Amino acid sequence: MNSHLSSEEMYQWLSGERGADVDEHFRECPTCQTELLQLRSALAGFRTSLEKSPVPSVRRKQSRQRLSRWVLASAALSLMVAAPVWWNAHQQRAIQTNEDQAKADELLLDRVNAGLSRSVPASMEPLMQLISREDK
Amino acid sequence: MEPAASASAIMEHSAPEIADFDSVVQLYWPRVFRFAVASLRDRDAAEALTQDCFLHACKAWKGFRGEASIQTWLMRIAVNLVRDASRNRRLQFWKRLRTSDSEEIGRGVCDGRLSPEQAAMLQEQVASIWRANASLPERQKTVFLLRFAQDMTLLEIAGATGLSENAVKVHLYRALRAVRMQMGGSE
Repeated sequence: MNSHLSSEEMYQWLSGERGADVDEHFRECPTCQTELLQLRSALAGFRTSLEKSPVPSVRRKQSRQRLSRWVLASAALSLMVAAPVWWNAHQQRAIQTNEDQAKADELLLDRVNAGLSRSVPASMEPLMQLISREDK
Repeated sequence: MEPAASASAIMEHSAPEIADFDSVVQLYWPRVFRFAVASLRDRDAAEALTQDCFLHACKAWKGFRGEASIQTWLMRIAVNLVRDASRNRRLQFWKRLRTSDSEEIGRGVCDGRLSPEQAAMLQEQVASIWRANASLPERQKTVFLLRFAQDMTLLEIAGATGLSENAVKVHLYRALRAVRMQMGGSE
């Protein structure tokens, strides 16, 4: 028997190009057989590892994309509708608050004016009423 | 998961006799995705590339005359897209960041028939092949993956890559030499 298979012959064998000489040597030489089988097994393992990895589904991906597109469109539309409504309500609330504030201010001012326009302090008013009754 | 029904029937056809393009997508989607993920080592980029591949294929489906098998035709589109993607500098940046995808893939190799020692050895050898695959030049990697991940013949690989059969052999032998060296063997 000749010496072992050359690297090129081994690669030919692994690539699927199998000549009769190489096949015969493979059957008769345990060293080459062990090395080639080990390489072939590792390459098969490589393929298996790739085949076992999960593959994303075609339809799920498309529907997810479609769904997310719809969600985005709906969100944009809702925002476009909701924004003017919210702004209007916000403005009305601001006007109402301003009106309430003006009324409260007016009431306070009336109370202050009433306090200032008294001729005697509030605690003296019953006494003043008594005096005016005696004068009559 | 690859649909078993009508799979072999579709694979035997070289002309677009299958009116339903959806069947082609169902059958070849996993193959194109696996080729893309092994080439790019990035699942998101591989998924986007697979979608692009079938989009191109769908547009060209009516003009497909069946000079090559459907697999060769689809792989030709995928090979071109991988080449474009590899040239994209932005993808190269992400590729550097995300090297874990191929490591993840390399884990699920062993079946229950192997002893723990044999399983560990096989796991290590497969990891070596993934490492070698990552460092191969683009053409060697493409040819290597089409032969050993897609189980295509040298002639089919020549059709998918646009290389001559001899050039395919040269790239394949170089890739195998790199793999063997990575596994601790001689040249």
